[in-house]
Amino acid sequence: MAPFEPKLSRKTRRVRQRHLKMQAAERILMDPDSDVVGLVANGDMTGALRRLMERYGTPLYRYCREALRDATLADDVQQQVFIEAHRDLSKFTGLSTLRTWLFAIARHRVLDAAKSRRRVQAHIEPGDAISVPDPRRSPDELIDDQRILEALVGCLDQLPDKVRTVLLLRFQQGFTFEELAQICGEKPGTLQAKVTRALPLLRACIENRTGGSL
Amino acid sequence: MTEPIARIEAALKRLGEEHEPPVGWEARVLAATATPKAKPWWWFAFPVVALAVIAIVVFAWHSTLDQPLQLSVDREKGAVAVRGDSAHVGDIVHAKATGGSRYRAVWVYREDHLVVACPGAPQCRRDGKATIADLVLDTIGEYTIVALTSSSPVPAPAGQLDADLGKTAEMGVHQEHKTLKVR
Repeated sequence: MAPFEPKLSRKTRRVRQRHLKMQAAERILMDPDSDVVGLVANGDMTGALRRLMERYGTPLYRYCREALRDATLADDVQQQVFIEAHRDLSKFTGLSTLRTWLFAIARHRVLDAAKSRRRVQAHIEPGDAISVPDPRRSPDELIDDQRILEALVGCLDQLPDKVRTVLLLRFQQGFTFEELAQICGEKPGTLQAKVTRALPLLRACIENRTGGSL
Repeated sequence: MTEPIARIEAALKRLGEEHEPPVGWEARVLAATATPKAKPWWWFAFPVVALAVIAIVVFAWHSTLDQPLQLSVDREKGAVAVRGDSAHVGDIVHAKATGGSRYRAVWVYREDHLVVACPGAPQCRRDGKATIADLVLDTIGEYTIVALTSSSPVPAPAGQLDADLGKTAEMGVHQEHKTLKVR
């Protein structure tokens, strides 16, 4: 049942709306990309796009690449994200930072691309390869960072797309859970729980793949 | 020793560090977002002008279409008051031919003899695309009013109703007639 919400008078609604607008304006001023917002306000959309590409082109590409594990697809998605950003920049309301907004677009496009690819691959590939422990190492031996990285790539692939994107946004891109909540449209606590559950799974998978212990 | 989960988090942070976006990606994005060249003002006016021209052409074409020939006969009562609605001597008749082709004529006969032939007679006038004969009924008898139309000029009447109508019918002139008895 929906919680009871008192009916607000027109004046109260107006005051609340004004307050929200002021909050959004304050957020824009505090946004490290407020200069980009300024360019948008002056109608210089191309200038704003150039700055966004300069700042976030590489991190966004890396996120797409690791989330999709496909260089060509990542390239397409990354470009698509900036094209969409250019189209919608004038509608940016300042409810989040520009970086968060940009990665929210990226997350949607990545999930769409992963979904389309899965649909195609379902007709081609018989299934995931079974991970086999590396026989060269004893279980007690400590795994070096490079081997963790190599195993991690394969283990991330085994996670659901949504969990994988959350892990990448949290650790690769360094978003806080509050920012993640804005990107994913979920509560920070829910996302934190997802991450907390996924990390031990990754650990088990990495140890299984490498045959060592972390 | 570092915690296992912390090592995974660190590995996640380093993931993809070696990858760089392909060369020229920014140019491709800029090309895709380049705004098309602003269209000249007349580009927006073109559909309006085109529609107006089409409307004018359709109207002109429609107005040139042949409307069916119509003959209407209105009667004004004369100065002398008489009983009844029938035509009497002294009444004035307005015989009006409208529609039809390019050429129109109104001929009025009394007892098969021509009384007025429009256009040409003093009792004739034109009102827009109508040819009108205004005739004072000065004699008792049966009047036959004929409206004629043709795409070529209507030949002048000889004076006899049957002969005139026969001749014009042979030439393909369209006719409408009405009769009026005057007491």
